[in-house]
Amino acid sequence: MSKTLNSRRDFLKISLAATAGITIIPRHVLGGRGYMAPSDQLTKAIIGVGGMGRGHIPYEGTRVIAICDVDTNHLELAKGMIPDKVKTFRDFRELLLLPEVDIVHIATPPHWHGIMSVEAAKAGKDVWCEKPMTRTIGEGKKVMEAVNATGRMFRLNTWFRFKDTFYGLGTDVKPLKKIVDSGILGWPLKVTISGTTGYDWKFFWCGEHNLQPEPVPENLDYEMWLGPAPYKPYNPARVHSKFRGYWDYDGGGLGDMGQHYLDPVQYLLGKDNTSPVRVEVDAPQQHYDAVGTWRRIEYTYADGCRIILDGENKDKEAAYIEGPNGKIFRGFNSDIAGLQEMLKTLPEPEPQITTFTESVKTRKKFALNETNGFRSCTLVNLGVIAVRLGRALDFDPEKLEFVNDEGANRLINEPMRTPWMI
Amino acid sequence: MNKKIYQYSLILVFSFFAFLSYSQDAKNLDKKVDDILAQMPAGDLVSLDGLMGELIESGPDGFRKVSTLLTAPGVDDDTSARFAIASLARYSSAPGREEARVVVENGILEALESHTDAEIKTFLMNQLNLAGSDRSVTALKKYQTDEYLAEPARQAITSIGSTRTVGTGHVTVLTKKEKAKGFVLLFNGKDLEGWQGNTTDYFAEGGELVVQPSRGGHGNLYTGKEYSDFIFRFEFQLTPGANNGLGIRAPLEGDAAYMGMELQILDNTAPVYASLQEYQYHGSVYGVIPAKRGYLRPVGEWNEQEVIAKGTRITITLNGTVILDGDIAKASKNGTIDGKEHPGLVRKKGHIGFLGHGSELKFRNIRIKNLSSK
Repeated sequence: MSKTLNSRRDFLKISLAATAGITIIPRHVLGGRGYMAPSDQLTKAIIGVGGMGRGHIPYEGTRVIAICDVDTNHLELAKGMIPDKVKTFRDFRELLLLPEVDIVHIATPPHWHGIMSVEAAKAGKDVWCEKPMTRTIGEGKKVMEAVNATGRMFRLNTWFRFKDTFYGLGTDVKPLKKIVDSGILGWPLKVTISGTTGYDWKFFWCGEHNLQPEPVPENLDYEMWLGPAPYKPYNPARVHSKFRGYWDYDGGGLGDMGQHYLDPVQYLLGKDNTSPVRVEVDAPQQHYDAVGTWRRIEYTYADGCRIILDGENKDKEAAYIEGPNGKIFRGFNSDIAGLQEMLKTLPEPEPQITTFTESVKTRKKFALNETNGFRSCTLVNLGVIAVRLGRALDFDPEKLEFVNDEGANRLINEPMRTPWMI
Repeated sequence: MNKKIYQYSLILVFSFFAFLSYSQDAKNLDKKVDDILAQMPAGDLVSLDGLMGELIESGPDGFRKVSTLLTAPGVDDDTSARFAIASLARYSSAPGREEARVVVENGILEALESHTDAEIKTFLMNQLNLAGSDRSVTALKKYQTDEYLAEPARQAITSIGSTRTVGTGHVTVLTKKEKAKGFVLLFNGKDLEGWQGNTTDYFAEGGELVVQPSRGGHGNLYTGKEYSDFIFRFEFQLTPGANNGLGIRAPLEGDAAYMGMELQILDNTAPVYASLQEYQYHGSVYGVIPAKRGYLRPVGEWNEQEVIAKGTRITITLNGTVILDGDIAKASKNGTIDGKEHPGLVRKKGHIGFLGHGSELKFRNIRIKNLSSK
């Protein structure tokens, strides 16, 4: 019943497909006088136009026609940056009713990502969502199901699995993928993400304890900002750009940078359809509300591959990737002689769709979509749950639940505040 | 006389020492708890587990002491007490720590009684998300009408219930006895095979039939087949204020409550239903025969129900108690108690269905024995 073709994009795709079979007609004839192919410029709406959301305005040159925020200051700032006339909303549900929107960008804090992605997909929109994909594993499952059921396109806003220099590695991910796939390093592999290998876990995003209630500023609809999150008295340290420091909304540097750092590792290791079977943690006692620091998080996959997050940068000798037969260090250095020469002879990895526009127009899955994005976000969430609970956890990657740990399983779907649900 | 004075002074001296020793114990405990709290937050997980173990060892008194240190925001800094209680909830939620969990859950429930501040109560309820069991579900029930606390109470109940579906999932099977008696499963736990109608808002998940009216579907869910006389058994789990109904001998079109019969499924305890007519509460043949009240389990727990429809006689057993045993022909002979037309009462057969009224709830273990197949 919800699978009606209700988006402009579906109509275009179907009408184009229908014509393509018959004959090739010039586009201006097809559309009539004054016709400009709508596919020439896709339209988008942005939900959450704080600093991150305003950064989405120029993405891929699509046209912003609507913006939504629970803070009127954000709306004003964003409006000033958009040359065209733009509709403004406080409630994203009203924005989703606009038939003229092709893509919905979600740049709110993570506690909203799940609900908004599902609702946007149900409204017939393609979705471009900020990382981390969802705040819980359960919400991620729901997003995956909704995107699949509605046939929408979904992309997550991190990109190191297909472009750009990969942090301290001094290369994009492609040559690394070729080397890993070739088996030169042997198997299983160990990946270390730390200062030594070129990363920063951003512990300055920890939260504050004992926050005192303060009056809510007039420009902010705090009720809607909280949405599904438990009610806690307002304090400016909870919201805008500080929300990362509280478990209710995010998971500190691990929550915020985790998917940036971990998604390409998952791609390199070929783990896009699975998850680790164990996560171990070394961390101080965690506060009930504020995110704290941690020292080490270690993930182990069923085949023995490991990912180590070294928060204290303890292992000064760490390679980025280490296998039984060789290592690759920061700056693309390696202990394997002639690696750069070998690289030229290695086959190219599978091609990926690297612009969302292409994905939207061809209806082919984006390089980082709801399925592999769910898995790399699960890496983040497994780490967050282990840190919060302060214990090692066994995980079943098929059933997507913890093995013999009721407490951990209660964090797979955290309850949402009435009336929100996913 | 002297003897009496001697006795009194003995009692006095004894009580004095008893008091001394009691206050010494209390002092020791206070000191122990203070020492533990002074070490929070623990720097690593080994020392954290050690501190948690000591707190558990200090038993209900130790927990009580920690919980008295909780203060409302803006009053005092209770950071270390909150560290302790939240960590106890997490610690005790681990496998193999069931005994610790009893201490923690009892401690939280007791603290919930003694504290009056809504923010402190909310904090305590939040800890039950991890540490709570069915006992908490029962204890939290009374907060369902509280303006501020209904929400955290509902969240804790939801969280406690979540592991039942997140776990291995519910396995739908007939018992040997039922099989021998001729019962068959109406719901396979995996999909809606054998059902028709609103298969959007009703769906199978984790072995359960989940109702989520937000999914954009419309109408009721009915069995594919029609039934006349039968024994129908099922389990259901309500959410606060949930309203659904079991339609029997119903046609696929029209209002099943009148064109067939509706056996009410309702959270009787919800404040919005405080002043319903007696024939509108759970188990009633809607508008026709009222059922006994007071046999539903707390919202969030599973209820078991059996419906026997044999000719004009309807018998309903809820959680082992017969809550309705009546004859629809007699009950409607001189007009029904709601004064409305119920043409469905004379129907000989029809579909069995779940009649949605916009609420979320779950069903499972749906099975039937057809009494009129011969």
